[in-house]
Amino acid sequence: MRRVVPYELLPDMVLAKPVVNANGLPIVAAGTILDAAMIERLRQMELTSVYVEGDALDSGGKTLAELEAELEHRFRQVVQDPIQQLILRTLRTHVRATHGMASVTEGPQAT
Amino acid sequence: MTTFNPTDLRNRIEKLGDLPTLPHVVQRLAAMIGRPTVSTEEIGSIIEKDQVLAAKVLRLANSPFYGFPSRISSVTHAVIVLGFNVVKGLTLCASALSIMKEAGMDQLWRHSLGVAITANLLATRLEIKNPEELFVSGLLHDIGKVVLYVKWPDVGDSIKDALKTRADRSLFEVEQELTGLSHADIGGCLANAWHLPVSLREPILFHHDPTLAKEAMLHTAIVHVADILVKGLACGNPGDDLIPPLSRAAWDMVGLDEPQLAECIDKAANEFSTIDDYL
Repeated sequence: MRRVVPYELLPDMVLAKPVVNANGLPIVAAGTILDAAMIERLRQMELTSVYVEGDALDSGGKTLAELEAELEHRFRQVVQDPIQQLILRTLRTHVRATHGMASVTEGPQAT
Repeated sequence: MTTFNPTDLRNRIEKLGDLPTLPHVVQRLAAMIGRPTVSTEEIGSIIEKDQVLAAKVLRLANSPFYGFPSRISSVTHAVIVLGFNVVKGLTLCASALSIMKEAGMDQLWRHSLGVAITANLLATRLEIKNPEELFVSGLLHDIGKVVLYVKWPDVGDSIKDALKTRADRSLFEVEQELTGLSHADIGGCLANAWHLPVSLREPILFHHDPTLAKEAMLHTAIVHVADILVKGLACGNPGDDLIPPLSRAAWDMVGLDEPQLAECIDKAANEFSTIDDYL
């Protein structure tokens, strides 16, 4: 899930949380797939932000491969520590999952 | 390479004019942490005197992070529903935020917010009595960097220059090499000057070496682990991208197994995306 301002909304984005009015009542349900008309309505509502499905953190337009390479690079000094290896592995799974890939189980490389 | 004398720097820290000062109202609230006899009305009335702070407390109380069904419109009501400790924490957070944002350290703020959220999650999982204290410690753990890199640009620039030529040294190591002090030491001095309780002071002072903590061992261990996880997640940028060494003792105290670690990372990333705008 990530938060975007209304002008960043694009068709086919999926609402991750309902959009609520000033009284807290939901007016568009979570799970709604946005189309151009709906986006226009949301933009007219002066919302500060909307939650949509997708990467939780701002990936800055990077590809999954780039994000994974950066992740490895950050751990370059501590990879010999088995606990840090566990943390790295878990973070890698998280990055892949938030990029729309099903969790990848690690196993021996195919030869 | 310029080096600095730690004694000179310690003298500089002691000159209070050089410190980012916590607003008076926050100092009063911070001193009350650990004083359970304070009443809700008393707290509410202190916060209400500071309009900016009152607005921030109400904004967070009404944020989806808490998800209360009806609108919370008075600070006293916010204190009742959020709890005294959360509001105390919020006031400290609001101040830490304005100090970092004024200093143009938005990326440090994002990193600190990530550590705050993660530390709070770990504390809740461990059923620590006041998990929101961990939120505050997380938020303040790198506060020493504000002094080092903003208030003392001569020192900060030398450290940053030295870091550029040594890709495999961490900011923490270069700080110690050049000044004999680190941002953690300076943060510890700030915590003293602000009269923060030991449960906040030790995690700030020892987050790079949690085994040195004498009283708030578990608090310090949690912030140490949270700092590493958030650096791994790369939310915000604390000044360098190297994952620091992990204290095995601290890891064991926090006691995460693999599924719990995965759950914690997912939750932290998710909460981070919802709370960022509300502080």
